[in-house]
Amino acid sequence: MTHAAAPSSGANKETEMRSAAVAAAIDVLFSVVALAAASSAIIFADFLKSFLEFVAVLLSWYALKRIRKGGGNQFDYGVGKLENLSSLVVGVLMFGCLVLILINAVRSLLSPSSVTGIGVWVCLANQIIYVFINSWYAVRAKRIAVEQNSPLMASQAGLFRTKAVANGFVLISLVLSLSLAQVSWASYIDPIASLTVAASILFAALGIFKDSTLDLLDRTLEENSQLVILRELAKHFDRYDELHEIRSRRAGSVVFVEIILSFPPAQSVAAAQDSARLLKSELESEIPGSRVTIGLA
Amino acid sequence: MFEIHTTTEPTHVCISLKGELNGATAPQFEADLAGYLSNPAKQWVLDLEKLVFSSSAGLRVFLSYAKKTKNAGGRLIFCAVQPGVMDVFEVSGFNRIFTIVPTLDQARKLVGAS
Repeated sequence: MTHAAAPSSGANKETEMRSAAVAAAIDVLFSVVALAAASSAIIFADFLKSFLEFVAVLLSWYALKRIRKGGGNQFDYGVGKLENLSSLVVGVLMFGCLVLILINAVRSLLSPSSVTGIGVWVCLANQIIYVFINSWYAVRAKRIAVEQNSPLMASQAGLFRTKAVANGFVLISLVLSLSLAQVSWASYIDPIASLTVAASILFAALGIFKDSTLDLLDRTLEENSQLVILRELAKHFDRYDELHEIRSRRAGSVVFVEIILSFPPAQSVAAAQDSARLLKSELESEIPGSRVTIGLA
Repeated sequence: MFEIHTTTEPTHVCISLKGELNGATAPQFEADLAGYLSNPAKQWVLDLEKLVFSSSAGLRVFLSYAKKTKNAGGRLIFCAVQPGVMDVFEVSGFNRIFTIVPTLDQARKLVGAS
């Protein structure tokens, strides 16, 4: 038995990631053009961030393709943790990006200069377009993450939200740098703005690291989900004879619940199986991402 | 800290719980309860007046014990359930399947104790 995502939900996520990867690639192209034709710390930061985000989206897309394809004979217990590994790699890339932006920002602060070049206007146009595109992707990814209980789509929603905010921020900082060009301290706007972009990346990377690392470890099921299990067992109290054991754990986005019950000897096997099926289906609908096994003692 | 005190009377066994029932204390509680099932009185009163907290681990023991007493043809009565524990009883729907009375005296009357 494999634990790969259902085909329809997997296809949905994969389509979403493919279109996001194309959008990110176009963003990188714009950023390269802007960087080549401008002198600005924040445009450099924006280029690095766009490039690494593109790689991150590409990695996520690859992870989804592997999950959809299945693990073959090597991964009989599923390849779902690829989602978590992919999210971890996104976090590592974000830290790399952060270091480069910091180095460049410090250099610009030590020898400040005006924001110049035709690339600035290319970057301005790019930011305006991508504020809308990234906001749209963030909303869609968030919706899919909630519907399918996917850590990968949750990290993507966070990524696109950060990107949209960063686009808006780059736009404002460039407008300020250009409009206040005659003021002496205006040359500091550019490197300080790039440091702010770095800070936003740091927070996003920390969040992704925390979530992905925790999801990679098998964890005890949260107390509220444990109460849901007990509520269902109480609801069907008269359907079974004895409660022997409840085992539950969370592995990535999947919750495994195993309940061992015995049924009255007078009850037919078919009736016992009906009760087990009912309990299983109700629990799986109550606990997102759960796979419930009812064992008959 | 978690403590169990039992009193065996002709009509029933009274089990008083004190402290917190959680993942650490529930296994010992479950092991102790197994011994009480052999009581010929077949009536058990769980006095929860001094039980200040019960996690899902404790609730699971209650549920399992309720099943065992029912199968043994016995009767299980909860009494003096504190508000915090009552809240989790309500959330988990246990208040609908357990016999719960407000005081130990009322529980004793139900089991026919003098």
